[in-house]
This record gives sequence, C-alpha cells and structure tokens, in this order.
Amino acid sequence: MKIDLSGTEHMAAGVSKSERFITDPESVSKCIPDSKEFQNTGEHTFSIKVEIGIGTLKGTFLINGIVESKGNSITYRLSGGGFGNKVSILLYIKISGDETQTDLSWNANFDISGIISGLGQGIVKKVSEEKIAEIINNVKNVLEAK
Amino acid sequence: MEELFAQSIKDLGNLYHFSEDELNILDDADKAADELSESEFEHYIKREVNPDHAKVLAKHKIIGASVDKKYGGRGANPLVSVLMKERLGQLGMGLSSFVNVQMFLGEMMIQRWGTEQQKDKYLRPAVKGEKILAYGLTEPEAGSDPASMQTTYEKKNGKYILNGSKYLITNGSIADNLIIFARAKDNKEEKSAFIVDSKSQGFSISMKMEEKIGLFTSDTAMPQLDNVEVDETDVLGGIGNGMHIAYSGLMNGRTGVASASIGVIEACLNAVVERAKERIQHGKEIGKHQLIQNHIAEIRQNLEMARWPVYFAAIRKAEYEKDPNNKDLISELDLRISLAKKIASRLAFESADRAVQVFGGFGYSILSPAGRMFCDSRVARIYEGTDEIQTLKIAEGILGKDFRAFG
Repeated sequence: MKIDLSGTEHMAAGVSKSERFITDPESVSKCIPDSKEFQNTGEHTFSIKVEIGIGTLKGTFLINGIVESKGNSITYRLSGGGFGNKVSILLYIKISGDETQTDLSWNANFDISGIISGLGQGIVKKVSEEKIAEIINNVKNVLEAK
Repeated sequence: MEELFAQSIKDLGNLYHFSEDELNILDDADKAADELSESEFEHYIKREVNPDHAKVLAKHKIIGASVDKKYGGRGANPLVSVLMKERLGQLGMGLSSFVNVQMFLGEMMIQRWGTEQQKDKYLRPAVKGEKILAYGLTEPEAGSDPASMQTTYEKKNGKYILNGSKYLITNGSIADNLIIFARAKDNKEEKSAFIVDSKSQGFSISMKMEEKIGLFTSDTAMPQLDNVEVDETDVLGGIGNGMHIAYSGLMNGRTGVASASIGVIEACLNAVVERAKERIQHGKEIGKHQLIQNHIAEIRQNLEMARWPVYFAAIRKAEYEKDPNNKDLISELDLRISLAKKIASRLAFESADRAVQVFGGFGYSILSPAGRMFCDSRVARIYEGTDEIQTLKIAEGILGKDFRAFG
C-alpha cells in the first residue's frame, strides 16, 4: 500500500533552531507518541521502537532510520516492521524563514505491506494523517516554547 | 469525493439534473462518511455500537436530510436519499441501519403520518440529532408476518396502555422515542401505531442482541412494554391505521437497505482492487491472475446490476410521493422496491463473498474490509423483508393481488 501525504506548517521559532531540532532524530523521536528505546547507531543513523496501532490492532515496530541534510532540505529514510507488517517511509522536509519564524513544507511517501495494508487505504491514510498531525503539533509546541 | 460515489452522481447526472442544494447534500454525505470511517472501523472490531453516528450525521446535516425543509430537513428527494445511503453504506450495514431507522422509518413516518404537534415534539429534534428514533414492529412471533403481532393496547382513563415485547429493534436501547405497533386488546384486527417515550414507566430493555454475526456498530435490542401509558396525542396516524403505517414504513426501509447494499458492493470493489494491485503471490500482483480478475469483474457487474433497479425505484418513489393515492403507482412501486431490495442485497452478499475470496485468509477476519462486509451484508437479505417475502411480492406484482401467497 502506497500513501503519499504532504503539508505545510508555520512555526514561531527561528529557522536555525528549527533546523537543529529537526535534523536531530533523538529530539524528534520525543515528539512521536508511543515511541520508546531510541538509539543513535551512527553519525546519521538511528533506531527506534514505536507502538503503532489502529483500533485494537496494535504492536511495536522497530524502525531504522537515516537522516540527511543538504541546504534547506532534510530527508528521513525510515524502514522497519513489526507484527507481520513492513513499512518504509521517505520523508522530505524543506524549511525556510528567518531568525523569528520558520516555514516548513513536507512530503511523506509510505510503502506499507502486511496486515495493516489489508485494512484498506481509507482507514490507514486517515490514521497516518492524524498521527503525523500529532507529531508536527508536538514539534511545533516544543520549538515555540523554547 | 469518494470515486465510485462520484461516478454514480455523474452517471445519474446524465439522466437527472441535480440542483446545487442536492449536490451539497451529497457532498455532505461524503464528508460524514469520511469522518465516520475510522470510528466505524474501531468500534466494529471491538464489536460495539458506534456512539458517533448521530453526532457526526447531525454535524453534516445528514441525519434528517430527507425531511421537508419546513421541519428542519433539507428536502432530499428519494433519489438523493438513495445516493446518500449508498455512500454511507460503503462503511457497512451498521451505520446504514442507524440511518434507515432514524430517518427512513422514524422521521419520515412521523412526517407523513404525524400531527403538527408530534412533528414539533419529535420530528424537529430528531432532524437535529437531538432525539434518536426506533421502529418497533417485529416481535418474537411476528417477523415476516407483522399482522400477527401480540403486543396489545387498551384505552383506560383517556390513556392507551401498551403491553408486549418487541424484537430485534434497531436503535432499540438507544432511542428516545420508538414507534410501537400494537393491536387492540379486544380486537386483534385493529392495529395502531404509538410514539412511545423510552423513559416511560414500564418501558425496559429485556435483551440487547450483541451476539450478532455482523452489524456490530448498530444497536439491536428487545424492548419490553409492561403497562406503558401513552397519551392520546401520541397515537401516530390515527387508531386503526397501524398496518398502513407499517407497510409505508417498510417501503422506505427496503429502499434504504437496497441503497446501502450498493454501497457495500462499492466497498467490496474498492477493497479488491486495492488488494489485487498490492498483494504479490507467485511473483506477481494477484490482480494479474485471471481468476482474481474474474472476481473483480463479477463484483463490478454486480454493482451495475444492483444500482439501476434501486435508482429507478427511487425515481418512481418520487412520483408516488407527489401522488400518494395513485393505486397503480403504489402497486408498481411495491414491485420495483421488492425487485431493488432483493437484487441489491443478494448481489451485495455475493460481492462480499467474492471479496473474501480475493483477500484470502485475511478476508476471513473482520479486520479486513472484505470480512466486515461479508458479516454485515448477510442481514440485508433478511431485515425489512426477507428474500422470500420479496420473492412473493414480486410474484404478486406480476400475477396480481388475487394470487397473493401470504396473509
């Protein structure tokens, strides 16, 4: 199952601070609901366990990630799986702004196989949208609070 | 807008001019279905009633959309109502059952048969989602033969006293008001309908039917009436008119089941197409296997065969609503609705069966849309008149009333 999501966000935080935060997967991981056991596995690589669920269908995913930054573009390449599912996510983020604000545009391509993909794209897409909105909102709250 | 639903509107748009208002209603039905999809799934797999139905349908002004504008509805005609139900049916028969009873059997019956006082008291709040309605016709010993009902009423001190049990009543335990059908205690031929307040003394729920094989998000209960007092002002349609009201309600209910069945077929088609493109077996997408293509083609054929009889019945129903005393039209409509209901519900179940086959082992789980549609769609061949009753009505429609095979 392939799902493409995208969005934009405006944050009342300087662009340098935002970039530092977003390129640090450990900081971002704290904004992911139900995440646990984050580990830096290299200079740009990491692993994380995340509890993912739709309704009563819940389980833990082990995700390995690579983060790359070039100019104002940040890319997260995530792959992993759990309880009979595999997922790979390619997340592109572009940031711009000044020392008082950040504009962020993002695009995420999900490729999911296994039990979750059998639930139907409508359900999975809706839950993914909600989860991403929650993560972005958490990131925004942290950045704007600091 | 959901693609198959949009295609139905487009196809019908070649034959019927939808007004701006009607297109807005359909757009709102699409939004309501979209908003309910996640909670409907979650409650389904927990096998529990979805408490969000009324709230979300009211938010999008769908819960009373078929009701006349002067009572707070949106005046959706039968064709637009059928399309609304088609979209909601894509989420399964649970949501559809709620809407069928709330709007087609509850609100529409009060609109047609109720006094202005009853419309103010029950219809207007129901259209806003402030009152949940149920339709209490079926009894443990009176299913396909509602005229054999055992629930009785008698008049005492200016009130009607109701006693009896109603069975398999959708919204039965969540309703604020129920249209209860009963026969006179001293004359079993006299049947009447009453609007009963579920908070009345003597009203109780003797059983909640939670052990169904599907339809989990819809409430099904057995209301018990022990000396329930009903005011004279809450008699619906006048004493002695019970069976006319019951049968006119069933025409609405059957149309609703038929239209939701189209939605079920669409949900099956969406699910199998997605599955066929993603699932890989024997080194290629299963959609490239010819026997899977056969299932997909058959479901698409089923959709085509199901929807047109339903749309045509709805078009004729709109004519009937303008001319309700036209006996020829009533007979024709009775036949068309039975045809639509029987064809669409059987094809919905067959489509769900094929969808389970395409999904393989995962299709045997209610986690899969195929499994949910399979469990849900079976009831469409039973409630609001079984396949067998529809068959007899179709035969009667062809042979004439002298050949009626049932009572």
